[in-house]
Amino acid sequence: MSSSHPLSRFTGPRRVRTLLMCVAIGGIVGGVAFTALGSDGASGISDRAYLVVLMLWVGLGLGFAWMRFRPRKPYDEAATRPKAEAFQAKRAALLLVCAAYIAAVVTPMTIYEALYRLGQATLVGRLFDAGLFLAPCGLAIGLITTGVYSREWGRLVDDELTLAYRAAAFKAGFAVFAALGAAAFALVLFRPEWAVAALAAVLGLSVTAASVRFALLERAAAAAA
Amino acid sequence: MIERRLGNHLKEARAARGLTQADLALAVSVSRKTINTIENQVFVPSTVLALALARTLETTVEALFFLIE
Repeated sequence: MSSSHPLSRFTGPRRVRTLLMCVAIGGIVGGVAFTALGSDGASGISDRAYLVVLMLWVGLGLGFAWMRFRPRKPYDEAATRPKAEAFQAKRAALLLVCAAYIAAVVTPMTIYEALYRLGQATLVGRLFDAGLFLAPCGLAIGLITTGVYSREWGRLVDDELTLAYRAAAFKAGFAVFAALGAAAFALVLFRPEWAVAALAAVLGLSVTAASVRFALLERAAAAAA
Repeated sequence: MIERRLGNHLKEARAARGLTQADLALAVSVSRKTINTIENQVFVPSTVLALALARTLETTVEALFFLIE
């Protein structure tokens, strides 16, 4: 269990630790793959490198799906309740990191790719770009909705207060989505070639808004408790 | 529109039975944060949770919660 693991004080419960390990493994193997296969001279990064990393992501995704849906015994609520509450605090921190990463790194990068490099990208390269953008967004939504951890753990972690905060978070996300979506629609009427970039901004910032709202509500409740 | 808030005697009822927030939270399967936010009138519980709290504290929902107008 998390309390006996030497890294547990830094990384939290087992599922969060596993998640971070997967991200780290994905980053390392992806980096090695790019180093080994990426450069093919004049044309830059090759499709082979993109493909290896894409397959790695699919593998990690399948691994997570297995961890989420495999049968497991229900938790002993009395013993696990303190860990569940500690997990809620770590989830809020992780969501803030995710939101910052999406808003400051992934979304601007995707907008740049969409504006300047989309025309030159191959199919595999486009899939890679989609994965690079959608994976952190999916992770953030999964953390809010219990999508990235098991149903048994979700039942323990998500009580009535969490459900209310989740509703507030999605309300904030939808407000941003509607406002930016309307602006993007108006913009794209005049500059249709900006459609993909506008969509990335709308999606990325909506997920960011929902994540930040959820994390701040959780932190406020934890501070008051 | 009349503005109504939900007041409660949860803290008193819990203390009268010698329960901590964590004990009560465990008894009704919610987090301690949830109990705390209800006691501080930050969070309005559902009818189901209100009934569960009343049953655990051996009282009625009306004795536990009241309207502030």
